[in-house]
Amino acid sequence: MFWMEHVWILPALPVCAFFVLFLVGRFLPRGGDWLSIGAVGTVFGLFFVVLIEHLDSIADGLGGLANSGFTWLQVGEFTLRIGWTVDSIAVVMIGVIATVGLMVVLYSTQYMRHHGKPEPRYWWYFAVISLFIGSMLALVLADNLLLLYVAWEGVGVCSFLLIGFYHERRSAVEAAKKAFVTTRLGDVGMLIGIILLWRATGSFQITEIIQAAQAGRLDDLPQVMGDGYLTMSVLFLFLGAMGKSAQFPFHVWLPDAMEGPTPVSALIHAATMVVAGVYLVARLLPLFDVTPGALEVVLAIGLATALLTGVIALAQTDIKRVLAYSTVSQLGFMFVALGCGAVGVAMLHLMTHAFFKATLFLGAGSIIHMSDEQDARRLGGLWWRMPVTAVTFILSALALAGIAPLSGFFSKDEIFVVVEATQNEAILVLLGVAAFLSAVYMARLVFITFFGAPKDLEVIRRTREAPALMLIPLVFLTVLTAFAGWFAMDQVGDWFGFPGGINQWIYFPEPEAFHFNSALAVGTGLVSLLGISTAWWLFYGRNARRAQALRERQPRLAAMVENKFYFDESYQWAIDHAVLPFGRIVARFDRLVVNDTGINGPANLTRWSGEWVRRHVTGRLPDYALLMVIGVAVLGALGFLLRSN
Amino acid sequence: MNDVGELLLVLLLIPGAACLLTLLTPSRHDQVVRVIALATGIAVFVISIIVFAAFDYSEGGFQFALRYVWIENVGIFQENGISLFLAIDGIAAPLVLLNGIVACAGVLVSWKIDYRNKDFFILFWALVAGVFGVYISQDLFFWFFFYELAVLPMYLLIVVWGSTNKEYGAMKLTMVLVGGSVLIFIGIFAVFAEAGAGTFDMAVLREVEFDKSFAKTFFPFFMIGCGVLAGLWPFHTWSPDGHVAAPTAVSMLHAGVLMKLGAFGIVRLGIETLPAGTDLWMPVLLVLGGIAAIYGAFSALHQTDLKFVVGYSSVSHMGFVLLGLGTMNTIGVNGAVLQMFSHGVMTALFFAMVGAIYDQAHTRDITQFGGIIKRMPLFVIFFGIAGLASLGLPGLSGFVAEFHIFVGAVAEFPFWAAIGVLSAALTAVYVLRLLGRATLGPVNPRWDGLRDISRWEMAAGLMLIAPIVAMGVWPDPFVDRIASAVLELPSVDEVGGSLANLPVVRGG
Repeated sequence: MFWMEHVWILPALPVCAFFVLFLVGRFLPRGGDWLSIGAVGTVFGLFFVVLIEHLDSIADGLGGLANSGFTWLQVGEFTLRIGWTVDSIAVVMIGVIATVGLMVVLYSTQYMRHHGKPEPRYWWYFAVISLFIGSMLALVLADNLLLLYVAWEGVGVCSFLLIGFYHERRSAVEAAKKAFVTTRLGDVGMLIGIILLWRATGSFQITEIIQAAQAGRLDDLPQVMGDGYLTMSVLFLFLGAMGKSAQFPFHVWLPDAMEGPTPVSALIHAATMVVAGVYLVARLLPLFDVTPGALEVVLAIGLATALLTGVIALAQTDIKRVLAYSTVSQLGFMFVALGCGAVGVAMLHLMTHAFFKATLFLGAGSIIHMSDEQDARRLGGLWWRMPVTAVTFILSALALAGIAPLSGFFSKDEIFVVVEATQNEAILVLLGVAAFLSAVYMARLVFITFFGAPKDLEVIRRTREAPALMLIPLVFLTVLTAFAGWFAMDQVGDWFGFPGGINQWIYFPEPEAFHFNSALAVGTGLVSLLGISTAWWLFYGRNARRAQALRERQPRLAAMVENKFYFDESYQWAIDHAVLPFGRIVARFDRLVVNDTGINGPANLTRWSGEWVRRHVTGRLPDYALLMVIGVAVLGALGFLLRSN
Repeated sequence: MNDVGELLLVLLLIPGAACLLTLLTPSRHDQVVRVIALATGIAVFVISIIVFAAFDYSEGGFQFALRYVWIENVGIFQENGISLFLAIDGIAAPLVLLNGIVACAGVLVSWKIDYRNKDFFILFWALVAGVFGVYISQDLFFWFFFYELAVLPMYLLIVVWGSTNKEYGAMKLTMVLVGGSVLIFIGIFAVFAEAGAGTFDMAVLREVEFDKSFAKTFFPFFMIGCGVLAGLWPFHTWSPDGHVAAPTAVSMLHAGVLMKLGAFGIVRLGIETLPAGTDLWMPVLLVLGGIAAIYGAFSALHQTDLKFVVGYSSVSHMGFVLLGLGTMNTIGVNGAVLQMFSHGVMTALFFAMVGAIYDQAHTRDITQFGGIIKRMPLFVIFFGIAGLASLGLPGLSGFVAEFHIFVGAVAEFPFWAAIGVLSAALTAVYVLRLLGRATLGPVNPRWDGLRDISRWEMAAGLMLIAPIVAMGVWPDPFVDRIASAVLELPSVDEVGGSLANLPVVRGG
């Protein structure tokens, strides 16, 4: 149990690597990338140790839980702690972070150099990646909402720094700012939610909040605080999850975040940071469960996002942006699963998605690195130039589309099972549409990049297969992509020493066995195949004229989709025409009313009255004599009037 | 209790002695002046650390008391009528430390001043002595004396060494602050007369039970009089203009330390002396603080001058302080004092960096810059840390302070707590806009000649970053000290606003 109780070492290692790299990284040989690899590699190794201890603890009937920590500060009765929890959810998250993290760090050693020469700020890249991995581990291990929030902002800053890595480009700086500010808006809600929850439960400890929820201690809250208090605080908290996981209406930042280096997109904007929102809701699901209306909102947001971004992804031409919209859409699927109360299912999809989406991004990175081109309109026919990349990319795309027996099939199918069991048919059908869309956009992306005639011979000529160090992570992740889904089944889980499949392992109220609904499985399989065939019919090679014809027949609809339903434009409009003008008004008000009138006014009044008086204190005898005469006359007149009364 | 001897007196005497010593140095020996300043800065810094560390929070109360009687048992004065009575409590301890840090950092960034540097440091040390005096005085007479000593050198410092519309800025600053002083002056004599104890000794005056209507009438004299110095809305406009006009070190001291005197005065003169007035007036302070927080943030959004952005951000952050004080519960007031310290170091760092770039570029217009990071990476890192602290990033000091304030405010004033959180979000917008516009983006060849910050500025920056990080990561030493005093403040509620103490929720 040593490692489960000293789990703080896991985040501490990469954070230490960050400090060393930050201070002396630029002087180290190879920019100190080996330090980063070493730290993340150690975390990867320790993950298995923690996993074994965790499984032993379950086998011994101890529940696989471990808590540790200490008091951070205290004001009277008010205490804040720093502490760590290891449980099944945390173990899944450590596994995903450590695996994808290690692969991405290895891959980056090649990606971040051109013709054997490291890019400028190579050391800085590895420093921030290390800090990110450390913060992300801290986020998933935190045992209280406050520490979670600390790590939550930490990963946000790392994301900001990495999106803006190429800070000579104005677009990268703007994208970094947009990502930070958009997620920050959600975080503000989250902080409010955390404080409101503390007010209700008197604790920041996640386990205490969950216990309070499960023991029904929050049921009397409406009497004290009025109806809707709990719903309000939980939904505020959910705002943070929506921001981080780029759910509608916060989805706009993630596609722009593709300005960062591609391995960063794979790690942060596909596999780990963006799933933090899913993780948060999964962690607090018992709380969402007792909150009226919370799960319905989660489900609605997830479904709306999955559909909306699925449609947008159809019309994107930048390969990274297609993947980004697809990520947002898949995160929507996870929220749908959470909305049905199925934590295990959501975590399974989180895990499989992390593997196949990381593979897809790393594959896209290898295309971009080798061909210097990321516009799908100028790619095409690449498969025979880079066969390994092509095979791994296609397998992962198939997994995402939900083709059996790849992992995506299982996780998506599980989502359909829980939706079918708990929701009505309309939601099932809408989710089916979203799944169909994901098959279409993935197949389209594969067809237009790897197949058909090359659109630009120059690009094809300069493209070669990526070096081995980039291919090894790709292949490794592809293997996981292919097989991770089997983990849904109880028998497979048992065989590996888990207490059954993922639903048996990760549960809150009661363990749920793996139900394989064959009718649904066939149905979703057919939907995926239908999606792929549709994509073939519309986009493969010369068939693209059909898509072109469709676009010409519906120009306005096509423009809507291609412009992402004008979300970015309308937000920009709101900023330009509401927020900034309001700032201008306040600033003007401050100058004109508060300063020039309120402060300068009395000052000027003093000066003017002084000047006015001075004009009459001339020092000339005749003036004084005249005034005296006037004065005497007035006084005399007054006296005369008063006396006569 | 730890024994530090007469260290509090030393804390006053060192800057005083430096002031005299500089006065006696012939002005052609400008290097000597600098060496005196550096030695004094380091001495003040070290002593303030010792005072902070030696303060025994488990004991609480006022410690290290020293008394030198000036007038007693004459005429209207009774025992200890007017005495130089020095002592600190847990609220003053971190502020003394703050002044030590900022004063020393201020010396470092003023190293390159060569125009009349002797006169500059004479005034500088008078100002520093005044600030220390306010924090450690326990006698209303001397408190006011030091308060004025801290405010008045500002006028000359700005007018002689300042820039950008300096006559106007200096005059406005002085007039507005003196206006506040008049209110405080009236309040002090009213309290003295009403108490009838024939002494200015605060320890005695704290024990006096003032009439409720008297307290309610005279509380605003202290609240507004001191509040003006803390950037109380709508009397705040002297502050951005003053910051813009002032030379670097003076901006640092001014925003970093001087504005805290105002908030500190509200605690010392208002809450401690006239607790009966708090019921009526502290909610007003809270509302004005909340307005300042959001109003400053929106104004900062529109500014293009680096110093104006930072100046309005000071208005916004001092709004948080007043908001925290206004909650009148332990967590909120604690947060307010934490924020005083946090904002002090953070804004000093901001101004040190703005000064560093202004000295070279001779402009502060953020639209003129671009890609500065290429030439001045260290500058950008330091500036970025100040920015991140200011937008309330966890792990840095700002978050710890603001979090306390939000938690303190949420129970009774949920609306203003939400306004506070919203202003923190707006801070992110203007800070990132500033960083993105000025320091990142395509390199502007006009700035190819810029060199990174000097060693002196780097030392000053590191001195200021250390407490920002320390408080963000390990706030315990600060919180322990502050809480020991805040828990004893009259009419501050112990309840932090959690419902956990209500039987309904406590349950099993």
